[in-house]
Amino acid sequence: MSIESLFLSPVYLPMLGAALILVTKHFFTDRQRRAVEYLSALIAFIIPLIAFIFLIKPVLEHHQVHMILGTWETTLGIHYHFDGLSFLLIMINLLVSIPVWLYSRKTGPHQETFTIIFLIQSASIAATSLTADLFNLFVCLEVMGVTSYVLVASSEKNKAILSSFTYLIFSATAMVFFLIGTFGLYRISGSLAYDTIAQAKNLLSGSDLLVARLSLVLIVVSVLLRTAVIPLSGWLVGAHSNAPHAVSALLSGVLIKIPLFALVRLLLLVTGTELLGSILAWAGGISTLLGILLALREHHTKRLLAYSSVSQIGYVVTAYGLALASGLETEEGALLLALALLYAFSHALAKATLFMTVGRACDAVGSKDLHVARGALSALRAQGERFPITGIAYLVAFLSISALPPTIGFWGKNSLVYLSKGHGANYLLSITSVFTIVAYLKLSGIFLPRKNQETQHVEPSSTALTSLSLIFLTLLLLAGGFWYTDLQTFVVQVLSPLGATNATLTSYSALQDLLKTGLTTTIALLLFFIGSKTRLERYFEARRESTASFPNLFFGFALMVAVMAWWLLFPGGAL
Amino acid sequence: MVIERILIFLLALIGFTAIVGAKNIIKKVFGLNILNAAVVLLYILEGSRIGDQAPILGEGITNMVDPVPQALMLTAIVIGVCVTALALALAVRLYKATGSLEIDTISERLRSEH
Repeated sequence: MSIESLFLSPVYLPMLGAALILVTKHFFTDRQRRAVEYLSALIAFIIPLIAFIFLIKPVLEHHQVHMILGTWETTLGIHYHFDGLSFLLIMINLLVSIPVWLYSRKTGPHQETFTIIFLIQSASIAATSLTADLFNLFVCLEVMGVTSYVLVASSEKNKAILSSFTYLIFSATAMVFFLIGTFGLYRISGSLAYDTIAQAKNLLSGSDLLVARLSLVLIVVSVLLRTAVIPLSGWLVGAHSNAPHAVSALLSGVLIKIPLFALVRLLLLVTGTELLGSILAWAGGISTLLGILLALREHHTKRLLAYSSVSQIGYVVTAYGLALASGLETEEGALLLALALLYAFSHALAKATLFMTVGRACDAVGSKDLHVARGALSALRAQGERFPITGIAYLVAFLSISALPPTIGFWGKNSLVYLSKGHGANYLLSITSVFTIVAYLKLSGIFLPRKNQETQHVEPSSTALTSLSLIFLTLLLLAGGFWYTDLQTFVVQVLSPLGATNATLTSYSALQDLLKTGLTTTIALLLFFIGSKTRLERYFEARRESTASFPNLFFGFALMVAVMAWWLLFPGGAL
Repeated sequence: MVIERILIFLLALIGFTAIVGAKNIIKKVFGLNILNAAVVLLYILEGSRIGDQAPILGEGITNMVDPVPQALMLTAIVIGVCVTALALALAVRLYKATGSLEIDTISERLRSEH
């Protein structure tokens, strides 16, 4: 089998699966349709996963494929590029999508269209990771966007519809600016393929260069909106907290990171992006701290998790920005990019697990308010969960996101913070680590036993699929921690053709930093107990749920463009 | 070319103002469409810099416009229609749930829901 048909399978097969469900929708009985759904999921996820396992060897040998869809000539056709980056991105998507889909079987949303949209979204994620054509990136991002608006709105709550509408209008407007950026680059280079654009841009000077930079800024800001960096994150909290649990897990875990890394391909080729990278690093650093502080104010479980996503994505963006700032051809830059990707992976696993376990716990308790919700473990037992898998999965994800051993997050965050030393954003990251632990300790309250125990009788139900998905994610989190060094070597090796040819890992060992982790944890515990004993936290608590207003959202957008203008005016300046 | 560009810019501005400022959610969707139309016109105008004939090969056609922007905009228009349809569907559901199309009233009425 040719390598092309293998790496395109995550694009084509989910589409095939979605079509299968649509075709059989009106002909089969309920039972048969259910079977078709499972068959489609098998086609859409398992076959590409097997195909990608076969692709590990070519990827490790730096075998890259550059192809043009159809039989068009170079200037007209759509370019696809398969290499280590797209391999890793699609792998992340598959590894998180499979447990999320299994989880959704039990917890919903129960509409049949859910699986269809879910599969189309998976295809668009794969296409976004593979494309090397600016307009095709636009189309992929729009497909990804439209599917996620539908998924958010598939919740039964009316609030979710408003969140989805807000997200739609904001993101669709940003995509218009993306188109304007594409227009600017097409005008200058007469092409839409990344490499031709980059060649043309690197030769420019004077006002043409300014236009090219402005276009690039519009594209970067529109993509950052999908990534939800502060000040572009206003849409995220509503959308991710009101969506069904499975959808929240996928959106927060995978969807916000893919556009960011898809953009690497373009930024990699363009010269003079050092300052842009530095701006990104600062935006990421500020996001981490502000995000976690906002999360601390929340007492609604899923809103807390959503704000924490803003904070966590900040780590990824900081590492990504620093990688650009030091240049991907340098050893440090290549390493930072690898770490950004690894951290994105570790956060995807942890946040998906958190949304799934906390969602399940809240459903069992019947409340999402942290002041009220208690006794999730016994409530889950009453629902027929004999072995407390939800509690254990939550504990492991909690350790990972708080950067405590023995999980993947411990290694990931510590090496990331270590490598970012020397840049101001590093301090922001270190401070955030403390607050992250405090926020998650607060969230853990739902698993504490209830004081006056009254067990309402619930019909016990089978939870095999849910448990399976949680076990899968938990094992990945632990295995990632156990074999972290090997994993990191693998990622660096796979990504190396993008940047420095032989980036080797610095001899940093997170274990030596255990002291620092201990210190962070101690401070966090202290803060948490002071906070809960003195009831100090109640002063800072969000009084009413804030919904993002449109003027605020677009103010954030304008602010980000304005900050980026620094790069336009003083491209050589330091920051 | 200058006058056309100013007009397109004004059109975009109208759309953008409606998206940000309008209270009515249907007007917001209209604004999105107007903004989209402005960008479509911008691409088409740009494509016509190098010629003035429709890009269909035939006898004696020499100075064609650039066909690529036109092809791109076909796709963009289709995507715009999809997004509009979805936005209107959501607007209908919001209206059914709250009985209002004003964004402030909607978020006020939904706030009490848990």
